[in-house]
Amino acid sequence: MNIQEKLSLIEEALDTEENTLTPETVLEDVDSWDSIAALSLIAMMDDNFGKTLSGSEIKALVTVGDILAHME
Amino acid sequence: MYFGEFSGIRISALSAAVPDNCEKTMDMATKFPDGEIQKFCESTGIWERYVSTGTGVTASDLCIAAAKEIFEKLDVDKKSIDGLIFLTQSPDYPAPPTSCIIQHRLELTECGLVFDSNIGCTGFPYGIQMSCAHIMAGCKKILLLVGDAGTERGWSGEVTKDSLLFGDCGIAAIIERTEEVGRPIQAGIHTIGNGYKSLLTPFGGERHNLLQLYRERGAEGIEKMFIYGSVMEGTDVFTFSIVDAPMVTKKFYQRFGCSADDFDLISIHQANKLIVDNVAKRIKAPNWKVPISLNLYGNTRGGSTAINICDYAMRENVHTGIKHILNVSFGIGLNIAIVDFELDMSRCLPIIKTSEVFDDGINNYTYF
Repeated sequence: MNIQEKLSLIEEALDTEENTLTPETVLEDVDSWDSIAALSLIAMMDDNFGKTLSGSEIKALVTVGDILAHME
Repeated sequence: MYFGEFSGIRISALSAAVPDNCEKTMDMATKFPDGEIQKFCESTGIWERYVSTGTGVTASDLCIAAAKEIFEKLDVDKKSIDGLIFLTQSPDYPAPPTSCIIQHRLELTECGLVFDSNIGCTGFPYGIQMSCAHIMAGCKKILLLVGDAGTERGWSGEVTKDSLLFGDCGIAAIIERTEEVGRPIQAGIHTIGNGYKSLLTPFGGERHNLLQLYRERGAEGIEKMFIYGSVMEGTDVFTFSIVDAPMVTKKFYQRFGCSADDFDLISIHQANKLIVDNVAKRIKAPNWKVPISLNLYGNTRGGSTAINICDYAMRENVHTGIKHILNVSFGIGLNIAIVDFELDMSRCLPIIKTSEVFDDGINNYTYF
């Protein structure tokens, strides 16, 4: 999966417009980044990468790049 | 992980009651800024719930109303009941067990095996397992009651969004020996105790006593406790719900050689819509087999999978025939309980509303 595909998955989970996120985007600046978006992110990570993000891992996320780091 | 299989036992009646007090979630919009409540409703699917707040109706009142429906509408001889189990996290008193008062109120004077358990969101399936185990050990007919209700929420109208997830209900079911040949009731239960802090009410027991809280923080501490006193780590609970609950369900499938195809209905704990949808997808349950009632009742905790079945019967007008039902519950503990059973839908009663409150003759000045 290339980086663009991964960004698309994140955009879908965070319910943002297509091609709006970059690895540098700060999550706090994304309007739709809230507890519900975090739940969608957890579901997406488990579906696509078989990874379970814990509450503390979610809290530690600062940028979109931090999410990408889990998507391997 | 525990598995159990029980032959010669059936669920011969099921009923549910809610407090006659519907709260529309959108009515809370003024308490939260920026359209938060609209978003909350859309993502959780919880648009309204029935709550006891301000009515004085307790979990035992709801369960008693549900039990009386069974005695009135179905041919159940009270005298034949020799076991009474009440599952709640909101008992009438810290002591004695509320089940003793229920035994008295329902005039089940011959019923000897009477106890409470504070199993939470997995109450209904867990209670079925307990009932079956007691029947294997000698009981003939058990009245299983599962319910939760909060007569107070928040402080001076201040509440958290989390509290808007929860509705109140009481369930009554009869579990009994039968000579009829049917499928055995099968159960799978798993506990993940190290997740206990994900859903926790820290104050009010002996570890963190209320008096100590009051001594150190005064009335401010008590007020905060009423608003924020039940702690939920949302992301951890979500992960547990969509990862561990499906995993345990798959182990259940494996152990009993079944799959979603074998069931007419799959009743999943009505935690919130995001969770139900994810769990359904992961246990390969097609949407048409997965009833949803959280839009009307919210997350009613231990009774949610049962009220879900009663609501399905009412909504789809299914009052005859046998349904083979899989029940998938998960929650506080952390705990996961799965059972499957056959239910004669003519014995599944419509949900009733009640505002009946038991008067025990006690007020705030009775004893001191």
